[in-house]
Amino acid sequence: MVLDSRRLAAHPAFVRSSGRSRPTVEHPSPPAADDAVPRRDEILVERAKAGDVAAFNQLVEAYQDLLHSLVVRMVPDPDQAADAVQEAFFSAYRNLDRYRGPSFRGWLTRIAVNAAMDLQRARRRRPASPYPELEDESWQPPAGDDTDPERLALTGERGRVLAAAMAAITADQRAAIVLYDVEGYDYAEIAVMTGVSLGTVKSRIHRGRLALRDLLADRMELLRG
Amino acid sequence: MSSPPDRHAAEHALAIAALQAGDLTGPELARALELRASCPDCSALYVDLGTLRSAVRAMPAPPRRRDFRLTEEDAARLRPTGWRRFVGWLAAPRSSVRPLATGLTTLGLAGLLLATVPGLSLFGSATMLSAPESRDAGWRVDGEMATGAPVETDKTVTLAAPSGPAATAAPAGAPEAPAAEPVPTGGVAGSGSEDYRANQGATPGTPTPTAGDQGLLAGQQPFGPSLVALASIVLLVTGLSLFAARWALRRSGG
Repeated sequence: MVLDSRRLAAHPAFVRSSGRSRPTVEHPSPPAADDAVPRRDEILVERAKAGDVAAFNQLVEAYQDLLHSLVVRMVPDPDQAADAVQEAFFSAYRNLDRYRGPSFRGWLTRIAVNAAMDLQRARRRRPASPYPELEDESWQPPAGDDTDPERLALTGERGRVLAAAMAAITADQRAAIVLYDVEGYDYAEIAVMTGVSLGTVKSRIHRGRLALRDLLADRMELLRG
Repeated sequence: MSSPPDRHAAEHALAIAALQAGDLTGPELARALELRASCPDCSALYVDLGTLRSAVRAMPAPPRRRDFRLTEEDAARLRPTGWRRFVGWLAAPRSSVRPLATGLTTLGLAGLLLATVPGLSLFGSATMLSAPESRDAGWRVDGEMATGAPVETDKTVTLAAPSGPAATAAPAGAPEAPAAEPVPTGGVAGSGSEDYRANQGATPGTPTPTAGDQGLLAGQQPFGPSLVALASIVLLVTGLSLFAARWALRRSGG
């Protein structure tokens, strides 16, 4: 019975249906007025285009957590990830006149993904030590209501093990997995963002998952817990 | 190179990964389902991939420690105005300055080459002629070749010569200009000369009207090689200046 429910949880249909709409810290449940956010963004963009830095900073405030949580999973070194996010906001401000809609969030995300991938390509020859904060408490999830120390330790250990494995696969595979599994973008959206074909996106995700499985073959029990 | 069993295992693993992602349809789906049912390792892999997928989703992200809001200085640097904007464009890593400078320099060099190499003085000879005038010029050359009679070579030569003090100074209707070396023009103007003769009722070997020649000569003067050379030098200097400015700005960190 346990196995059945596990399989059900892993089934694509189940996972997909519980995909992007699943409320998380990064993606809170969508508000009732779904187009209020794009409207607000458009107004702020127009003001920022006219030279209102405060308006652009309101957009930064709205999206910096989202971009950071995306990029920090794509770039193993948190300092480099922060640099990539900063560069993404700089680039967005510099190229604001080129923004044509319809979604500022999508446009910004694309810029951030490109910034993260550019940064990783540039530093490929000088790799930084991956995830220097693995021993740091920052990888611990927020305590919340669950204060059971054993459970917290288990969750933290799980995060560290998985993060180390993610750092060991290729940057392209990592980006595709994060965009698909964590951020909930579909194959076509990822293909546009990363500038590769749909088949390449699928291949990167499949091969990346297989590589993760090879790396974590003896830790699967920990991840199942 | 992987051995055949390894290759098979890798192919099976990819099929299971695609099955787990829900990417298979038709016969591929049936094969992968059969594989999962018949192979215990494949079945275990299928479960593990699902587990990994869920774990990746739940993976915590380190908290953000930096505020990414722009300062006024950032904004001024990122969207400069006036001459700072031009300087920024020159120094930007992906600006269009480099291809532009390359294009200008290439055009300048090519123009200089065309204007200065003697055998390539295209701008002063037949290419400057309009179609009827070209046929006119060819008519005379053809006439000479057909009859074997010496035509008024100096006229033909004068027409073909790109420029020169004598040609420039010659007033309309002036009978002679100092002879220069003949310039071959037949390749350009040879075709269709028979038709032209027929239409005009002219006799081969007869010298042609000179009024058009004089007009042609008058119109030819402003487009001599010197103008091409001058334009080429301007392009070359502009291109090299862009290269130099960009190099200096990038070197200084601007």
